[in-house]
Amino acid sequence: MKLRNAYKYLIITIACLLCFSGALKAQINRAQIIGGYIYNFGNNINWTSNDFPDFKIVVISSNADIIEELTTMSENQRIQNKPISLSTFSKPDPAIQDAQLVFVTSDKLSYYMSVFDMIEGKEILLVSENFHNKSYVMLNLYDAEDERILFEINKPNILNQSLAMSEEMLLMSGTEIDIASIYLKSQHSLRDMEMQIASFTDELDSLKLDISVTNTYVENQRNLIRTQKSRIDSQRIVQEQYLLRTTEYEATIAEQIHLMQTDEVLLSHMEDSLGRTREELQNQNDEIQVSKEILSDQKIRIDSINNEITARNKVLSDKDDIISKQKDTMFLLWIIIFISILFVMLIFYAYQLNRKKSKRLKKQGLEIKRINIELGNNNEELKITLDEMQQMQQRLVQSEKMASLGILSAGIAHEINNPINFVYAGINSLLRDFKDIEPIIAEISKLKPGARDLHEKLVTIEQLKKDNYFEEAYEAIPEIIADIKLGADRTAEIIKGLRSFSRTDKRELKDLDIHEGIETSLLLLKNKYKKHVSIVKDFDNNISTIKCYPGKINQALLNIISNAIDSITENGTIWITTKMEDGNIIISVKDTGCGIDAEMKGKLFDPFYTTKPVGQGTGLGLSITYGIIQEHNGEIKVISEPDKGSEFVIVLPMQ
Amino acid sequence: MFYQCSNLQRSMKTKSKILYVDDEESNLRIFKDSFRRDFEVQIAISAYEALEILEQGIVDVVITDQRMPGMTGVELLKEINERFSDIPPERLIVSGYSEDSDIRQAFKEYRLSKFIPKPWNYEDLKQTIIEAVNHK
Repeated sequence: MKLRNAYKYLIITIACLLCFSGALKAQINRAQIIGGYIYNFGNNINWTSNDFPDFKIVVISSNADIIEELTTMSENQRIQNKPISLSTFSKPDPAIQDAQLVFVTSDKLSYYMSVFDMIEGKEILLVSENFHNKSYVMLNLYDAEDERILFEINKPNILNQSLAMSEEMLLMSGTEIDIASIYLKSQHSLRDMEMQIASFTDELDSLKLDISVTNTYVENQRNLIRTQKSRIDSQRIVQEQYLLRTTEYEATIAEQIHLMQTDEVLLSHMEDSLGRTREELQNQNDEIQVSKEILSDQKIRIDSINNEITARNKVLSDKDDIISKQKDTMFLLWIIIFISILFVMLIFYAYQLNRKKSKRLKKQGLEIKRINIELGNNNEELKITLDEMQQMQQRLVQSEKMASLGILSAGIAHEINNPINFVYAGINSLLRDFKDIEPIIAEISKLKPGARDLHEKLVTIEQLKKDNYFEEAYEAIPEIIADIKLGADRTAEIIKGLRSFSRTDKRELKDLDIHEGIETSLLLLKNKYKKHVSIVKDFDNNISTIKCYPGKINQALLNIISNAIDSITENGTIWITTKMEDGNIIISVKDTGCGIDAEMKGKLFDPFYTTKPVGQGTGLGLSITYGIIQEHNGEIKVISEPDKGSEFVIVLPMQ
Repeated sequence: MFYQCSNLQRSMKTKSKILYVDDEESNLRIFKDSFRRDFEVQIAISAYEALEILEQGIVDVVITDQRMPGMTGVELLKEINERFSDIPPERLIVSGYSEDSDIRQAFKEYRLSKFIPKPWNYEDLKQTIIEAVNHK
């Protein structure tokens, strides 16, 4: 039965929505429709805590139709399977907080917001009728344009009440309020409000400023008033004092008036006595006249005495002048004496100082003499040392020469022994040849013209010739003689070369044919190079002799050529070239030897730098060569490439 | 006496063959003139020429100078040692200077028998050569 009633309401509602679209305008129908909606709302919303005994509906309304309709519904229907208890109020009442559903009709919308605030966050559904502020709506019934009654749902607000909403709500022609637009609108209004607040704050600030200005002004005024008041107070005190003083004055005036009165009496008395005194005075005047005359007499006398005194005074002052003058002279004298004493003292002091100085000077002189002697000694020592050093250097150069000679000696010995062999063996050979031909010559010398046995003798001689190899000897003899001569010449030449090489030049310049020097060096070195080195000479024959220390230059040439030979281990060539250039002689010694690397090049002319094993080189050769060339104002240059060869270039000035 | 000696040699008919090598022509001439009465002297101006002569015929004694351009005396001996190992001639070296390490090596390895310093003495050298010939 009750279920059928419920269906009846639903059918009515749907019928209202679909069929009675504005056709029925009767108030009763509208109330019934609203009642239907309320009933359906109650059934389609889920209350989480479903333990309430009856479904309480509070209606805030003065609409009798609606109240009546709802009353009828509460008596006949059940919502959520619970009986409905309806209470009606004309304004918000604390009782609404116990309700499950509150319905505010269109005539009580002024209370809507206060009701909303009261129930917000509680499990209470608020239904409104024609409420415009959609932000606060939960379920709002409204009259549509086609006179239908529809409702709109603000879901967040319902959810906020911890109420759940079934989907069927939307089927019942409910529309969800566009939250976004509401949000936007509220944002706008919020922004407006903020702006308004900002403008208000500005206004407030300006007002505050005004107030503070006014306050200061008021404070100033107050201060002004205070000072005025205090001034008035002080003036009042002064006035009071004046008053006081005035009364005092009055009193004194009265007293003085009284005194004056008594004075008047006294005056009359005094007048009397005055008259008497006048007479006395007259008498005294006369007496004074007499005294005056006496006084004038005495004055005259005093004057004369005064004159006398002034005369005496004058004499005295003259004497005083003289005395003061004498005093001045005395003072001057004293000063002079003082100054002279001072002067004398000064002279004495200076003398003393001078004596000391001269003493010191004498001492210093002695010292200087001593030092001079010492210096002289030192000088001599130095000279001796220098001499020694020079001698040492000389000896060093000489010994290097000797050392290189020693190294050369093997070659030189061979070189000398060869020609000596010519002479020595040659002479022996010549001797035997001579012995061979001697008997023949003897036989021939016995031959005499016209001798009878001439033919026999000739046969004997012929036989002797055969026996003694005469022809061979005869052929050999001139050859051997030539060889002996050659040997002797060569020996002499080598010795000459050795002498020119080994001589110590006694500080005198001599003429030297540079080509001869080169030849001498080559001669001495011949044995060293002849095995594996060929010498190519290119001499400029226009070069005449140069002034130099020949021994030294020869030594330098020998060193350079000797080094070139040493640099060639296999077969090689040495080019020796001379030429003239700008008044200088240029001697180039170029070899196809091992060359010199950059590191060696830097040390090349250092003393004791050698690449040869111990005993084979002194390491002084090139350093002494360098010294010799420098001594001759010349230059020595090295052009070298490792493994390709080196070229030593000596530039010597002609003079 | 000398005369007799040369007669003696002559009577032997066959003179020993001597090869003398020296780069100095004067030395060659003097050597040849000195010993022509005693030996059959062949001369060579260089080691190369000496080797050519040796190719043509065996000699009894080889006497060589040490210091020569191209090939030294020791090098010549080494060459002989290698090329003519089966019939080695006696070897002598004549040199102006003895302090040559090569020569010491030649004594050990190339069967050098005697070192003769320059200048040589005829009698001594002759004696040495005769000894060498007999030693063979």
